[in-house]
Amino acid sequence: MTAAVLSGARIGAFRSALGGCLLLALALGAASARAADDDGARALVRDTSAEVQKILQQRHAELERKPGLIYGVVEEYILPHFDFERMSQLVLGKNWRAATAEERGQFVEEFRLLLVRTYATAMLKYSDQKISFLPARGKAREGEAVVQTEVEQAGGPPIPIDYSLYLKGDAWKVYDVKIDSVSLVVNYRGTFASEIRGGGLAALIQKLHERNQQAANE
Amino acid sequence: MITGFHTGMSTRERVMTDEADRWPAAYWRRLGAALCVCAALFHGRVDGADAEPAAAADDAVTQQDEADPYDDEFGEDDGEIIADPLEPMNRAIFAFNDRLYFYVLKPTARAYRVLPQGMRVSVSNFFSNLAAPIRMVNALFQFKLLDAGGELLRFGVNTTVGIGGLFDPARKYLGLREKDEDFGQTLGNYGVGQGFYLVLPVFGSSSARDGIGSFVDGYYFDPVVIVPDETSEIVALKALDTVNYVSLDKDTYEVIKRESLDPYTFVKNAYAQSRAGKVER
Repeated sequence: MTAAVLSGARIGAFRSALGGCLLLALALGAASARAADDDGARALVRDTSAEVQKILQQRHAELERKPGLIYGVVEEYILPHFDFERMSQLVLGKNWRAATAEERGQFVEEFRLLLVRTYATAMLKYSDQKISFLPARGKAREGEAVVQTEVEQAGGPPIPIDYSLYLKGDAWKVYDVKIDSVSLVVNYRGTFASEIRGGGLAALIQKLHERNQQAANE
Repeated sequence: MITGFHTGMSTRERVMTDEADRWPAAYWRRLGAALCVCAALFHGRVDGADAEPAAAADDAVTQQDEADPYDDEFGEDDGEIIADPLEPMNRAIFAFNDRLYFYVLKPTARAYRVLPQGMRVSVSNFFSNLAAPIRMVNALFQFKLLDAGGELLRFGVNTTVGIGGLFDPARKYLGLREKDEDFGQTLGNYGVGQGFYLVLPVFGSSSARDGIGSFVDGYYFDPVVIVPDETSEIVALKALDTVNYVSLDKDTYEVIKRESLDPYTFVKNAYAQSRAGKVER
């Protein structure tokens, strides 16, 4: 009787020890996988920022004369790392589901042009500022990463800029940028939702199109 | 955008009280009063006095802020981040501020840019150093003791070594960064939601909560409002602070105005998100 209880207890202890080991192994595995994920995403953001800053500094005089050249730089070096289709889905929300394939295509293109312009303008202004990368906080889900950076500015506290990325196939893609906690996706969702309520998706696309045309002619 | 908030009331009140009532005596009395207000507020919370409709509406907003915005990709989200029952009035004031910015503030800031950037950064440092009590007291209210200590140390170092706050040696040599805190954030930290969106004439974006917060900060903790004897001096100092700020700013508002279909909604959503982020940090 005593022996049976003892062995039962021992088996119980053994089992929980085994369970503990398994759990630990799983946790470690998950942790290292997450670290690897984060490293890939961080490396992408860091390398891209460094590359673009270098180009902006090298071609500074040229860009001063023709600011329009910046769009080419953004198109070539930054855009390939953004997933505009996913951004458009997030921005339109339920309106994406209701949209036709044609509307979706048009929206992605117009929204992309808008973001290129906004991004390019911001980059020209802050190209000479120092960017620091904050240590990763390991709370992201598998295949997701948030890369936190800070951009120094003259006469004020640094501006936090966070990039949200996800693993698409084997490449990290940016799907949102948060500047001082203001998410591009959430903000555009708010603005676009009220436009759509007013005049429908077609009207929003038309408005964006006009805005882009106007900017292209300037 | 345009930050800072105060009213002429502080001076009016001072005229009614003792003429010799000067800083720092007045300052500490107000600080004491503020602590009482806070005590009352927190006591009220324990009593369940936070069941006001505004606060309740707000909790929903806060919860929405905290939820993962990407989870519900095709959800019925109408994109509203903060309640805006006063939208018509807010839009009118927004339009007024817009004109104020383009016709008064921006031209003044452009002219003011003749001063070299280094000098303008020093002016910015000076005002930021003066606002240290606001940050310190609010860090204390939230029991962020390290941040409060950091602000105290920063104030000491920058006021002395940094020549009255014109320079920021605390950051340069001690790596001590300023921690953005205000009474609106303190309220947020204790669970008070932003309430509804509010656009104030001249001062710009605010909310029910942050409007009260700015008033408390301005009235009780802001040396720029408390120390001068004349309202005109306060206005002059605040105007200098604002013009200096705009002169250093890289046309943020212009970019928003050009690129967004509805600048009012854009600014509103950005304000609500930025404030929610500050409370979290």
